[in-house]
Amino acid sequence: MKKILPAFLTLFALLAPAELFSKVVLAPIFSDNMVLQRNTDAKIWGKAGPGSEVSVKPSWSSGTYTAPVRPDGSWSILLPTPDAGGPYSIIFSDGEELRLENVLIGEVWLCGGQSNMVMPMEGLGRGVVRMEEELSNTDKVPGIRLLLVNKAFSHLPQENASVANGGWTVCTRETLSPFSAAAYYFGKHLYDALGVPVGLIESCWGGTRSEAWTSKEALSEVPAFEDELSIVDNLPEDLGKKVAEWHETLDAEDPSWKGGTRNWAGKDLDEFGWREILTPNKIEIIEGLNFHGSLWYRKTIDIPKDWAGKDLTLSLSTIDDNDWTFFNGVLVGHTDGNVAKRVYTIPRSLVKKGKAVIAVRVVEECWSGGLVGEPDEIFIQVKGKDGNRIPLTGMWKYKVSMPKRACLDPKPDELNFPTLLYNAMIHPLVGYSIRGTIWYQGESNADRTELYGTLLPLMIQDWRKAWGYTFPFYITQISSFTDPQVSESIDPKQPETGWPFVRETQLETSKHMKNCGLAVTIDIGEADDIHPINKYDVGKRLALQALAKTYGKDVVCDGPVYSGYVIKDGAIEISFDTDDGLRTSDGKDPIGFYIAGVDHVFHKAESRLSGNKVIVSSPKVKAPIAVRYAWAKNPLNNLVNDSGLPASPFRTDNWPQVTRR
Amino acid sequence: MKKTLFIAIIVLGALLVPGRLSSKVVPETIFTDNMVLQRNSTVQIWGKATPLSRVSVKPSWTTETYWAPVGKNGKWGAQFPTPDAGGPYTITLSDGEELTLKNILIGEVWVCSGQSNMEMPMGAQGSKDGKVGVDGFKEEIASLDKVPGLRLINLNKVTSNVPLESASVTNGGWTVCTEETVTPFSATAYFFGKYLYENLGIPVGLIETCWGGTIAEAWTSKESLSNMHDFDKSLAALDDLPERVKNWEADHQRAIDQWKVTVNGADPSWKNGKTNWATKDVYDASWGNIENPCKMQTLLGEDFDGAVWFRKVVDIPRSWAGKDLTLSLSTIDDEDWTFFNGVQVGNIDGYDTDRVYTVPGSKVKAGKAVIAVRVIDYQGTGGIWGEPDKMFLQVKGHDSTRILLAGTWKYKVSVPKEEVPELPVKLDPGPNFPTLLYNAMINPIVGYGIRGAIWYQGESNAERAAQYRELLPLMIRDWRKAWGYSFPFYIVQIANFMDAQTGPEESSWAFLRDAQKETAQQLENAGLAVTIDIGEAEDIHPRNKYDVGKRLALQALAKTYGKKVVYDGPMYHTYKIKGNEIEILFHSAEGLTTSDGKAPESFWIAGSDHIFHKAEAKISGKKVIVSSPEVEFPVAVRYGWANNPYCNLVNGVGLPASPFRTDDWQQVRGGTK
Repeated sequence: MKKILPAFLTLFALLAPAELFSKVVLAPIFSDNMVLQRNTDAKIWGKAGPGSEVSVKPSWSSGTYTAPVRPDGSWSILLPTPDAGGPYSIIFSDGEELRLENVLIGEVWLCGGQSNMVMPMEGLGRGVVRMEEELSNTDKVPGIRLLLVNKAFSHLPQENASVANGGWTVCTRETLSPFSAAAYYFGKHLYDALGVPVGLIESCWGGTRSEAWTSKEALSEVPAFEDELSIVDNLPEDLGKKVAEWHETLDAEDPSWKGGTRNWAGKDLDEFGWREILTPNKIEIIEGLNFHGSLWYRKTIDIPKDWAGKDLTLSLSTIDDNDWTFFNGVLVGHTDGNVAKRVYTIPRSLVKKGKAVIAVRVVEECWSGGLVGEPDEIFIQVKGKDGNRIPLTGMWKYKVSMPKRACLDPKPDELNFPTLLYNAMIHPLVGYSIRGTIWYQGESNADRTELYGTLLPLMIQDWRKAWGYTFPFYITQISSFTDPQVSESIDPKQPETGWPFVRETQLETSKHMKNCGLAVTIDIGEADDIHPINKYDVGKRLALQALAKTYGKDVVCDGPVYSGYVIKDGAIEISFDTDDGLRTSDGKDPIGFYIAGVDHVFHKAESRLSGNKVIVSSPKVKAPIAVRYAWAKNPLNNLVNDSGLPASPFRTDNWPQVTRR
Repeated sequence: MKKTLFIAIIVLGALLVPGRLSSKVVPETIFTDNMVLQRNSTVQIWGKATPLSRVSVKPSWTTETYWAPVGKNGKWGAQFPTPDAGGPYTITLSDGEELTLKNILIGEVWVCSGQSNMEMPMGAQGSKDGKVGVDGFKEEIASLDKVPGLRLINLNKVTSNVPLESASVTNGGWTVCTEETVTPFSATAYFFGKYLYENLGIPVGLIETCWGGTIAEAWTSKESLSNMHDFDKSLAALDDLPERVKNWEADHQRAIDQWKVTVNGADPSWKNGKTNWATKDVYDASWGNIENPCKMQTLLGEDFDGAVWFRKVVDIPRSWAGKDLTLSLSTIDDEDWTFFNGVQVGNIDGYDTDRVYTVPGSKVKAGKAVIAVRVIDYQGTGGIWGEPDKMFLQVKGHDSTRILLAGTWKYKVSVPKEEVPELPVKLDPGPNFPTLLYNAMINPIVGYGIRGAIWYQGESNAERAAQYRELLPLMIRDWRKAWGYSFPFYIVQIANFMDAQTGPEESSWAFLRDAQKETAQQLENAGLAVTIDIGEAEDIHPRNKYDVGKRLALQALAKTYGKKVVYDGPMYHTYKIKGNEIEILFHSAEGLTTSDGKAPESFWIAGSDHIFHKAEAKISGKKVIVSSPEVEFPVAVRYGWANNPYCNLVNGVGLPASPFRTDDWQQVRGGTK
């Protein structure tokens, strides 16, 4: 880590104009409206004229604190904070004053992860649960403050974060709409229960892997990353800048995108001069191997009469690399990267019978690209009605809007390269006094689950070490997705989805690491959307963890926790730790249990409740040895406690994973 | 299954039961005088009798008589209730002619099974030091009068490809404890039974059925094993055998016996076991000279097999006359018949067994005497080939004056190799083939009223530990299913063995122990006797079987008999990562301490690189705090994870902690099937 320090200096020289040295400058994460952690020594830092002295005068205290400015112009101070309250102001001065207003003292939480933590209050195509109610009532939460860290990655640890809205904001419709729904509902529950200000720092990015959020120093412990770390070491110093410039130039030059007009998306566009392409296909088969840049796809469909006014599911499988997808000119989804499956919801308000146009702007960064996914994953249908789909494969119109000669190299999906997000989006926050962290990530690690068991604890330890204390870390277990589990038996030779193993790692990590907890969400996923809109319960369950374990409140925070099993003659008896009962959400017998004998074939089991136990058996398995519960990408499940908190999926075996990528 | 069984029974009946028996009640071999029947239960006795007759069963503890009809096949089976512990009683069986079983006790019956460490007898001879008996052997033999209620039955080693009806038993069945019956009996089982006997104060019956070096799948029925596809090929091979009782051991023995008859028949020196080549006055001047000890192929040619006589003249001092002499000839390959002045003093078959015979004083006279040895070499090398200084003659007990027998002997071939037929090839795959021991050594006792079973086996499955994790529960439930109830099953975890641990190991034995622990913890009515502290680095058969038996008995006393005793050592429960330390939590950890008063040893800790470092461990209440300066972010701990770790973690009553690991990282060796 130390070796990298000279890089900070270089960076600073690049980013900070010379005149700043004559005035106190705070790191971007300190601003008006911020929340400082109560009852602690909150660290604040920035730049000033080298050799001078910065005085800090908070309005809650009669004292003035001073910090010397180091020869490199940096300074930092530990500011003792009072109990919750405010608003206060803080005056910084090295001769010239800088004043922060509307500062609150309360509880600060860092909120990290991938798209399900990103998912904003306004939703991704669909608004989240209770969206309108919250957006219309932001005046009721004056003590909740938001800091949104912009997406950025870097192969070197960055000193400063890029932040939206110039820093901390109060909650308004404008600031809350793009803010993480899971984080907001978490904060709201804390705010209501504790009655103190709550500051939420959102630092997350869709489709990202945990190793990207981990420091190089920590990852160097893991042999599997040796090669990738050495690639990181060899990346150019101004990589991030190059990537950003590539995109900025492209967007600026793209006639279809100027000023965000998106004028190629509309229903009535004259498609004269557009060519045709059979999809799925790589655009390079027509445009040639050297094609990079932006292009549009359009397909006209006929919406049946009985679809009108209903939510539709638009599935486009994978797109290489980035897409902006429109329905009759309205943006219904945007995803970066060539990995994620595009499944968007078209809100019912947009759905009318008759002709409709699906338009997709694709930016192809390098190698090959376009609408390249699986044919059977490219369709539109009424949400939840799988039987009646309009396939969207076959002929599409397309037109290149901005060809670009140079390939973006290295490719931007290297945002998932080890350490890059830690460097740009976590490292600049290190030191900001936080109470703890909430985390919602894992879907993107499902293809390498054997490593996730190492990576998740490593990342937690890494962050805690950086901050210098073992802060609480509450994990959201990934939810359910894709077609519901129906199979009567599971063939052991068939590779399994990695999702259950990710959930298992999350469960184990929360169990065995100090100051950890798990918010189970297996019951609130959606079969046809990887981004469930019920973020209310996600935030609430994370908040229950914090209320019980961090704030010592007498609340039930865990669902029934699998604690052991005993093999009986023809059945296996599963025990649960629960201080709040064991029952099913629908009052019926438990579902989602599968049982196997020595042939390792799992059969759908008969299960019944018996006190705090579940007795599992199957006539097909005379001598059972293993049980799995809710072990699928979208498993059956109904086991809860009296508070309705669900049991985590689990398995009693430790058979080697055969997972599907 | 049923069809095979039926045919096997008929054939067996025809083979083993002479005609006269069908006119009289014959109980199965496991129902004999001296037996113990399980108390307070309904027990079964079965056997043969006159077809289509009726057998009456009349126990002496009741006035009742129980009746059992005899089938067309001569089979009958009777069920009757047993009283509380007591005895001795008799049971009189009759189908017209009476048969009375005597000296029967009512108490607790346990099956004792496994491989060599369960087989290891009270009188085991040390392979290294030659010491006779396990620890405490002499004291036990000297106090057998204190265990009149402890009864033993020991099954002979037999294999079969189809389930057998009858067990082959030693000593004609159940015995009381005497030096003769206890010495060859399982020490683990004996100490287990004795501990129960002393603590319950009622009769205890022990059924020993074990075989050294055997694998668990050999002890499991075909029906159960067929669920586990690992054994599909072996089971198919069994199916290809002719549908009959195939008793390889007996078949082979019969072939060997026939071969010996042929060789003896070709021997001019040997007429129906009598010989005139052994006496003093045989003219052996024309015989060849040979320097013993030596391998006789050096004189007779590399490929010689056959019978050879050796003679040596000795001069018996006057003072030796009338005294018992010790005749020691070291090892002889393969079988010898040894004579002193024409009188046979010994006969042993075994190429590496020391021959130490006694010449009775009545045959010892002063002056010239002849030692004559007939040797049959069955295959390979042969002859009197041992240690020169172990070849001597002396007055028994007087080591200082010996006549040395190494040196020149006379020899003569009595059966040349041309006369020797080829030795029968052993078709027997040995006992280590799926189902063979279940068929011959478990199936015949199924139904005998038992309280439970103890089991000491696993060494032979160590290279397939992941499979054992499922195979052992499969076998246990197989037996329980056969008996029809989920009887207690207590498992001895294999002890420490081989080189003392010096670094982190991917030990197959450690994985096997883990499989045993998991089975004991997860299966209903199971328990574990940990012995990680009493193994021996150089002997796979530790001599401390007292603690093994005692720890098994503690499991039974607590879990089966409801006694308030501590029965488990500290059992790993869970862990918590706290900064650079991992905190290990245990069950059964009252008074957690170390056996030697030092810090806990054999804890290893690893970080994300999965490299284990020797850890510092300290006890804190019922927890152990583990750390290492080498590991900043620890994620996993292993304890006692080696073939032979030094384990000193115990609870307040001195019971050791089982080895464990917190990780489930890829099993390097234990995971291969």
